[in-house]
Amino acid sequence: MKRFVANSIFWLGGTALLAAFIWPLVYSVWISFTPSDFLEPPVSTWSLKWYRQFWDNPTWTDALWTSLRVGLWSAGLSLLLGSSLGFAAVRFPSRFQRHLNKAALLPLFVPAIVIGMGLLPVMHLTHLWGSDLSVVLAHTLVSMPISFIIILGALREFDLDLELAARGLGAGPVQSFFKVTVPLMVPSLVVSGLIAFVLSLNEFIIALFIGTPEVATLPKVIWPNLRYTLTPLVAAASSLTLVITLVSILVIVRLLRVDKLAQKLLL
Amino acid sequence: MPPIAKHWPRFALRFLPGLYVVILFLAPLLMVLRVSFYAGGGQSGYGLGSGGFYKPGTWTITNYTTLWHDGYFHDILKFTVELGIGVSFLSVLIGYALAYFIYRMPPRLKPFGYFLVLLPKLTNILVIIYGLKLILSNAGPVNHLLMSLNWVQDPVELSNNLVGVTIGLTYLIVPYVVLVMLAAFSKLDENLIGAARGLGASALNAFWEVTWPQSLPALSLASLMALIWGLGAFMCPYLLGSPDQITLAVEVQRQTFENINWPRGAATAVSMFLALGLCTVVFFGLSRLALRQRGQLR
Repeated sequence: MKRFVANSIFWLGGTALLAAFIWPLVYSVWISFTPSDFLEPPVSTWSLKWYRQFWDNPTWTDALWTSLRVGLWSAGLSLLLGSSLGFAAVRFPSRFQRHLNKAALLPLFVPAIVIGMGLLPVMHLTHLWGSDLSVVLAHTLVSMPISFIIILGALREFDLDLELAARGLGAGPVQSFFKVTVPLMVPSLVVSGLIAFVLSLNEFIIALFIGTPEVATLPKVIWPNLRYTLTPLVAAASSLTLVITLVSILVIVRLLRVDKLAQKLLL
Repeated sequence: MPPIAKHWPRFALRFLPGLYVVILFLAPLLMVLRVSFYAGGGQSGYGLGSGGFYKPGTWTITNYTTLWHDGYFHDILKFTVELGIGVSFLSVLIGYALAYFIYRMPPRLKPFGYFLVLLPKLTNILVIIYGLKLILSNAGPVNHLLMSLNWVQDPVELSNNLVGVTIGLTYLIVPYVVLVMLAAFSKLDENLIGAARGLGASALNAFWEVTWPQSLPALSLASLMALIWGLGAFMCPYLLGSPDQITLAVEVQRQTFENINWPRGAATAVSMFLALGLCTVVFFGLSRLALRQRGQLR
């Protein structure tokens, strides 16, 4: 009996903690479907009113496109940099390379505020201020270390014999790389690109610092609304980014499984 | 073959990432330092062209001396450190419990637990803060519940004060703690707990004597991460707090964009970086000392 009580407390408490954890997210999405002008969660009647307002307002739709554009470019750049560094780390290990690997991870340990404050004069001096490229470059700073870690992990588990076999069968180094290594790496590459995209889509502090009205990403447009008014429009905008993020996460989860499957089949 | 031709692949692979790290990470950090020694620009507004935000070519330490003598800045510094330590303590407490709960979940449900904890970390932080603002508001569900249970007569002020900031920050930091602790728990040898139970230990005793000591190194890492994130708090104090809950990060933003004083903002950012570094080093040293005394560190 005592054990039963202890067990129930453990399970109830844990479940309550987990539920409390995603409550704000669920509540935001719920509110976004309200038909009312006030912040009441919809119960019997649900409405897409606030989503319509979002679509009819160019400030919001422009921000959404900016976010998607910046996210895609940043994901591409992060993938390029992360994978070239990952390949260098695995194929050409050296003292210098080890230092470079560590240096590439450093941006993760510096507060975004400090990075944002530093990027501001840099973007100002390079005349990149106000261009999409400035935010793309800045967001890549946060996502490149993550892309690098994912690709490095995948490459460490990669079976070099496969490449050597291709070489033995007469393929040149370039051919064996593109015909054997890259196709096998595709799931990890997609995963690291998607994570970079999600990070950029939701990154906020650096965008706040170096973004100008010309490159206002969605979080930057949400920000003043969050401070002064709490219209359900904000909830609708947030829910849209949440949907994009969720789809990306589901793809990531699936691909990670495919990745493991491919390894099992090959080894 | 000349060495450059033999080595071109490694040069090609290293060049772009190396260049990128230097230009977009090293240069900004040095720029923060440099800007903090400029004289203030005295002009204001967006897009005035170069020179509007500081006086180029000047060297001065007034930005630091101003901060040093500013009682308001001292209050902010003190509050930031207190908030960081308090919130990371709370987050570690909750995160440890949550991680242990997910670790003990049935294998089928475990991925779901992981997913729920990771989700807030991958979504927009503003969504979570928006949700919290609604939940904690005077007309929100928490106050509604408290009043319908007759625990309180009038709505309790839960946001726009220290309570709101603490709750918000805990939401943002707990996932880091959970991730670190889960990684540590999953490496534990299950047989040890079974052995302890077999030798007559109760579940609580087995946890206390076997699981807890083994989780200490990871716990110190998780606390360190929580501390770093707690000290860098920006959005929660800004959106869930009142002017009484200003942290260093908020002050950097206010000096830079509301006072349009980049040198003062940069000096505050440098101070924040130093405060964070100092707290990190002190905590790291203390936790290593404690672990060494327990014989868990060589």
